[in-house]
Amino acid sequence: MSAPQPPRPARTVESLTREMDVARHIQRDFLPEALPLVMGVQLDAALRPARDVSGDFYDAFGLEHGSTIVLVVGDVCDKGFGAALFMALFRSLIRASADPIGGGAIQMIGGRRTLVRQALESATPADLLTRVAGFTNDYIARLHGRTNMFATVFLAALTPQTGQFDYLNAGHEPAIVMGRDGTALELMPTGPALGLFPGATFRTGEGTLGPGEALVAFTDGLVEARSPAGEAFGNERLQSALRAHNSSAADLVRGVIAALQGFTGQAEPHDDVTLLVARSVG
Amino acid sequence: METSVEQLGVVFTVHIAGSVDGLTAEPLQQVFTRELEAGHNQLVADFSAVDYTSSAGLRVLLGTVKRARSGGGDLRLAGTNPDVRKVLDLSGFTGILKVFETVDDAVTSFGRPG
Repeated sequence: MSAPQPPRPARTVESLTREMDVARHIQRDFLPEALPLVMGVQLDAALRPARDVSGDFYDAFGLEHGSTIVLVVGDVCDKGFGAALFMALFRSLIRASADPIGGGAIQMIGGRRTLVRQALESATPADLLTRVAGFTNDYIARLHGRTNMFATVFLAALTPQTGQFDYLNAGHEPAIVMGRDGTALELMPTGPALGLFPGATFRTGEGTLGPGEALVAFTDGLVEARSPAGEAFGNERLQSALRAHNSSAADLVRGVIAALQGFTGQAEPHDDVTLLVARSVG
Repeated sequence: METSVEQLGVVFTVHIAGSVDGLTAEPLQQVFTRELEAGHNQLVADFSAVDYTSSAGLRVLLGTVKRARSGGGDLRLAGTNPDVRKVLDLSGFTGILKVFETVDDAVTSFGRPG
């Protein structure tokens, strides 16, 4: 008879750290590897998780023929691993229901491919946004209602040639249209957060980016970030950083992140921070 | 965050003080779950001493209102400060939750028809 085996040791810090690294690495794959290159529009983004994994996400992709660019910024409720799992789900549902060619919408519906594809192609960008929001909302609310998870999401469909865009704000922090003269127009919610209850309805709004104007979408972790003294970064500081750095999309993102870092200093971040900028160059 | 529960007839009011965030959401959920499991489906969340709620707090409210309604009751909010009210408005929660000025208003609303 062999000697009794010692109990298996509790998982070590190293193994947990390794798993966290794997999770972080996999999650990175749910964000775009690179933003699309678009004639007439500069795109740039930043995402800074508060912890190892993030409940925030962003996306940007061209629809067929590249005539429309879809922009997405989302914030799944709560933080940590639960939020990270749902971040992957929300991002995938949005991308797959918006992009029938690159995504899974066509494959998912198998034999009805042709009909569905025609219907999608004839839809206006505003129709597309309400369909994406409605599909994602109902999927989460019906199939995952027991988890009570939801996400606030800002969606826009931008036509680079004209600068015209439609947007749908599902319970999200208002995005900003930064004018060349420094004025800031807020794009308020047009419907509730996604996943709250099945059958929610969503409206859309529209706007235009003139040359040198920028659409700036972000999560509340940006404006609610705290200084060591406990003060919030706020919309005023955000807008003043945008005004001071409107030479390119990359300049806008860098300028805001630098202002944020200067403001928060060494304070522990309490939420994920995400920022996505589309700037028209005319 | 601190909580206390007060009963008036069949309505149970959860008084909440402090911030409802990622750290305090779980204990708050436990308070509501305890009431729901005791069959108390007519609930008021007294937010008059809540200075901040994160999305984790909203998630607690969502889970609680769904469960209360499935048991034939409701969760109603009272005394939200302007910052909390703004979070509720932006996220669309004021479309699903009834919000009252005072706890008294919220409690008596359960007695009204409709």
